Amino acid sequence: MPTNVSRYGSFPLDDSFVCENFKFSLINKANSYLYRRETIDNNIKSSTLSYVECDEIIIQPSEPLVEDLPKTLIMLEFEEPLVLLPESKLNGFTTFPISIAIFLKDKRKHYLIDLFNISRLKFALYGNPHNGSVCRYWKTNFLLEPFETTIFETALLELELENTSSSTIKLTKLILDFAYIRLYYKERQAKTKARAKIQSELYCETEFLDTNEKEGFIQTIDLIPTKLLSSSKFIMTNGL
Amino acid sequence: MKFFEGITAGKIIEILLLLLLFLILIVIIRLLVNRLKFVLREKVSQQTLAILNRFILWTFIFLYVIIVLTYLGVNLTGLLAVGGFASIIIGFATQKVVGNFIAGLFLIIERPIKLGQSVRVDNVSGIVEEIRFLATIIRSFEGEFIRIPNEQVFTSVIINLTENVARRVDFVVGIRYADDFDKAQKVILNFLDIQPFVLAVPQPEVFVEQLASSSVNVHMRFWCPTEKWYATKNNLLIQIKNELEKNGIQIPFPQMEVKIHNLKEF
Repeated sequence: MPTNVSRYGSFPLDDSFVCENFKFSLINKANSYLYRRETIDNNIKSSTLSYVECDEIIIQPSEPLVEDLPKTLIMLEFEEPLVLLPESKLNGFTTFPISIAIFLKDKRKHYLIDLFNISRLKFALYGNPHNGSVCRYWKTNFLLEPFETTIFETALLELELENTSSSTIKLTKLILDFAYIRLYYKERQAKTKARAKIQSELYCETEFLDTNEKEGFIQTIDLIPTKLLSSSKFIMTNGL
Repeated sequence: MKFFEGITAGKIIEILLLLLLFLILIVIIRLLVNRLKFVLREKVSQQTLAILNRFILWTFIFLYVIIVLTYLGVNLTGLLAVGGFASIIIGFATQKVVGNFIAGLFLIIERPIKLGQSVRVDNVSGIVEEIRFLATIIRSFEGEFIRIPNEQVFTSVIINLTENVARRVDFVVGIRYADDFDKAQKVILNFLDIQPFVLAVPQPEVFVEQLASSSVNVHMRFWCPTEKWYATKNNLLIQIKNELEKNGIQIPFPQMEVKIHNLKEF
């Protein structure tokens, strides 16, 4: 019987794991692991892994990286524009796409064996083709209260928006650099937090923050090594 | 022996100091060259960097020897006359070479092309393999080795196919006059919407380009990340054709209406 996956976290090592949207098997054979994963959209990956003595599997939400096109920026486009009055703040919640990372775990280390997406894959260009950036694209609602997100597809993003300018700002999108994301998970939930400080129609700083309420939540294993000396802020200068 | 007559203990110390200065300067120059090599490591090949290293080092040694000999009172007039004459001859003979060398330096500084980029220079398309001092090496998409003198590269129109982060794809597909354009437009836009590497922003466009003799020509225009441009362009056209056909929209053959008049009428 395969292990039924209905939550994030650690599972005892088994030959196969199944959930609604994906399944994978990890068969120990001749001092190696034969790994095979299949998603609901028939995306199949199979590989042979060298053997390490492990007793657990970790299935966690992670940065929305796409192996085929590894970009660390994401464009969150709001279904309806947000209007920020001069020198005002607006806090709320949106969805945020996540990838699924699968790790093999022994007593001391963990080894990433797969990274894939169930959530919709789409990219967008922010700025012009010469000086702009290609980002992961995500269209989302902005709500004032927290809501339930879809396991393995989205996390809840708490957003703090601040307009420090003396004019009214219409915000249609945000660009965030998820190389600096701080993502937490618990059972069937994943969450993170970000801030946008708008200084004018042409200038906005965005960054991920550490969430305040961490009780019962586990921080995900970072897939992108944190760059200690570089800034975690992204400056939007190509339109809001 | 006359040469050694004027040598005193002070002179020997002076020569030793000049030697010491030479060694110190060599060490400093090596450090500077290593720093330069580090800065240029991604822009210039290892081979070119080695040539640059040797060029700087030997230029320094030559200049140092000249300066030291002058300082020590050795008469260099004859040497300079010969050198001047030789440099005129060499100058004429190497005019093109120097031109290419200078152009190579400008290519390294201005960087209109970089190693690994896909470019088109003077009707030559391919991947930049190496920027040498005198020539740029391009591997054509057919795998040929092409050497273009730097002067020609620098003064030509350069089309860099991979410098920008996104590129546009344009397709034109003809549909029958009997087909509904609005439906075709919707089918194509929905299909493009589910393609991950067709960018959501800028939005794809689908419009009638021409009312042609046998078909309504539908133009579709969308952007892709440069890394995925080639694969997307190659894969999508046939998929769009299949998608249109699946929805009952056909791509017509060229048609001609022929009317045969009754000859008796003439």
